Amino acid sequence: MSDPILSIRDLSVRFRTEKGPRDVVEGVSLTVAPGEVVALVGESGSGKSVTALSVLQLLPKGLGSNPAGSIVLDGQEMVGAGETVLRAMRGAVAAMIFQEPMTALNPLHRIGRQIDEVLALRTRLSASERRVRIVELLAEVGLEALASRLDAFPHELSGGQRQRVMIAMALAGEPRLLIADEPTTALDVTVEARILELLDHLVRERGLGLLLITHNLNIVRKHAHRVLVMHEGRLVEDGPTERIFAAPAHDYTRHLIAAEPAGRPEPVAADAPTVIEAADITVSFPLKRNLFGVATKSLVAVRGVGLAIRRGETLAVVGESGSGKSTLGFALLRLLKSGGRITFLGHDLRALSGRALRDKRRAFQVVFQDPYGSLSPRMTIGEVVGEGLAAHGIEPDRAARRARVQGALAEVGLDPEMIDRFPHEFSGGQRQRVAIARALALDPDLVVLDEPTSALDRSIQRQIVELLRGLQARRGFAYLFISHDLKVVRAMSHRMIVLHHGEIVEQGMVEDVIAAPREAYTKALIDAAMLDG
Amino acid sequence: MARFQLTPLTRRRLARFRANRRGFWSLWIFLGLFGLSLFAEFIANDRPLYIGMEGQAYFPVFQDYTETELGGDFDTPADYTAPFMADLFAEKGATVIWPLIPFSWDTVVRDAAPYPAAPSARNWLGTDNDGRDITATLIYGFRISILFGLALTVASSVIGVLAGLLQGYLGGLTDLFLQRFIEIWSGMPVLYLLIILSAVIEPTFIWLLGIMLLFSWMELVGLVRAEALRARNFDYVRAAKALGLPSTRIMLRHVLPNTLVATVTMMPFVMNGSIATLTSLDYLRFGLEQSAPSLGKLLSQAKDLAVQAPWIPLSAFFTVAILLSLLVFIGEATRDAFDPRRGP
Repeated sequence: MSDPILSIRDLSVRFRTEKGPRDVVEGVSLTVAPGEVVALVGESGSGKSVTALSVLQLLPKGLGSNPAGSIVLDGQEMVGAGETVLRAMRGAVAAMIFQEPMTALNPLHRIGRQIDEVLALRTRLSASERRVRIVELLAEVGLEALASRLDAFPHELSGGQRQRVMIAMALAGEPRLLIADEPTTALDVTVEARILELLDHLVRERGLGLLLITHNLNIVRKHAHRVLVMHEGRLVEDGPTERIFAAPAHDYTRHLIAAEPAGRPEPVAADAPTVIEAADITVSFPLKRNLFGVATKSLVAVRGVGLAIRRGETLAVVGESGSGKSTLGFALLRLLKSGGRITFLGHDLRALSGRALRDKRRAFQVVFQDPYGSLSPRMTIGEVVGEGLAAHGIEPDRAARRARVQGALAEVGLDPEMIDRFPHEFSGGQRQRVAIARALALDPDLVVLDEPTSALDRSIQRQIVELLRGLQARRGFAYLFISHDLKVVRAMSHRMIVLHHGEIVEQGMVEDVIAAPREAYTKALIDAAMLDG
Repeated sequence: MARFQLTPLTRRRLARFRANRRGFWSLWIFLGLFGLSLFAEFIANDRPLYIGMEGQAYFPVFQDYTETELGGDFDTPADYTAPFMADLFAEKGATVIWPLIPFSWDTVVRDAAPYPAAPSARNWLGTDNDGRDITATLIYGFRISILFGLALTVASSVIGVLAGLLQGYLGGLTDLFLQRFIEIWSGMPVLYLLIILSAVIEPTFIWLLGIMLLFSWMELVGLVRAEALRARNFDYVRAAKALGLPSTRIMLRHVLPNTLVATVTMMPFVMNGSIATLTSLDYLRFGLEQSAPSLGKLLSQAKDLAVQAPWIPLSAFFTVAILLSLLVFIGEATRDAFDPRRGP
């Protein structure tokens, strides 16, 4: 291979914190050659993103610095370089692609203008030549359809299209190195696959070097030539992709690779009673109302969905964002108004309201996706978990309630002594356990799990999946498991339904659907999940 | 208990507040001045703090004595500033301890005429047109301004926050009707209302507070409403709903804390506005009753006497300016403290 386009030697990243300086990255060395895809993997907080930001010296000013090491980008030392040099390098030699294209693009500027800005800065082309070039760039990233819509605003595009625009902007400066920081994490799996194909294609055609930062090992295995594993700010392993996956040398790498959710749910008892049965569930959101407040135009988010879950059974609801899967969950929980019938343990749930509905809520609980948002930051975890018990008068006695809360914490694998701590003292996985404890403290019959693992690192996901399965086996919970990740779905669920535009397009036993998907959409989901074994 | 332990967030906010030196010192100066003015009766009064006479102790600040009780001739409340009282005390060899400033705000300073009298060793800042000591008026006026401002701020914040919470959390028709009501209500010409009303009633402290409250509670509603609308979709608020908690509890326990940051940040500025409003109403003579100490009234005297008696406008102006500036600086520091984009 030719000379590396990027070579980092013994890099440290230091952050100023309240407790004094802290080194979040220490002694990291790596190189990226033209035409090479190097993946930097690690769990959140491992220092992979700040390493990437250091390359273009984009660390937050005054807070982050590189006290040691060197970063040579195309022969130019970046650490300590002046602002003029940095500006000449940014975008022209190396360009970055960020995780969230909605926030990385300026929402007030038309996409044509945003690409044009880079061209005007980096090339000597005239306005009309730049226009031709923009269309070429859009074609290169697979957005031929947008050639006539250069005046579109970012919000008019889909997530995948926005990410392609970001890539087109990155390419406009003719860089030799692309740094992609979790470029597909915010995208649906089917879109993710196509964006990665595009990046692969660019690396081959243009001979770009690609530094790919991700926590997703599936992506790494399929797209990277070399893998660098980071753990707590240090590089623990470095090698060709096949070697790393076939024979990981470091314990942490083995831990990461083994962290894939595994196992299968316990079979459901043949005589298990039905917990919830829903028919013809329809949810629509009014878009326009007439003078009398009657909706004249509405968005139908869920259309005519029927389902039933038995005691001890997990029904997975699978679909990409916007397919209506979370909306369906909220409708079943009666947190959203819906049409249709919901029968919960023999009661017609839609006939209840006010006080009667509140009393019934004990029996159906929910666990949300984001463990940071679902716990009130101002309450101790004891108060969080005990609140429902108090509201339902289950344990009116303070001491008994405390004991029961501690029991719930122990059941989800937390130390009961931590009852008086605040959520910020816990990691993401621990917070998710608190949220699960809040739900199970009320001893519900049904728990709606709204992507409970998708905000967590793989190894934590596996623990949470095992916890949820264990609880189901012991307590016989019925789960409605909302997810887009088929690996987790397979480890958790008995049956699944696939939602697309608010309608069920496919349903059946999980194994059957995975073995023989009928719909193209289901096939794409399964391909993206790279299921094995 | 764990509940009272400072969360790191609170500690960081306190640190950021302290980091704004100007605001931090303003807070202490303000608290000091306010604390002193609460004891105005002991600092500026036309009654002695203590009289020791013929083996007996008298505390005129706390208790009214008649002249006969003190050995005088008439059975009327003693006027300690009268020359014959001084003679009486001298004759009986009494120990008399006077406050630092031997005038109350409504004491007419004898033998300083013609009024307004210029600053002197006795009247540090001179007297006003009616012969009252300006220093004493400033101390009492300062106190009443702050008390009025505080009362109005607290009362209008409580009402405003509750209204905003209801609007934001319940939404729908509640929101629609309250919002329309506020739009109409805030269109009322407050000043004219006050002018008309003050023609009918002599405005007392409570009366004026009530009238001002009718119109000032709307200040925070929009802010709190927006925060509550946002908080309504937080996962932990949804989770609380899914737990089956009653709406009142969700609002007070889960939504309210989110709105407090915005409220606390605004409070010094709301208070500033309240004090400025009271001062300007007093200036226009539609404020507090004629017989109350007030910075605004001093200012309106100053308007006519600016040339003959520059000490009146200067002292009134600097008192108001310093008070309002202190509050603005405190407000700025509070805003910094709650600004998440600031560094540690």
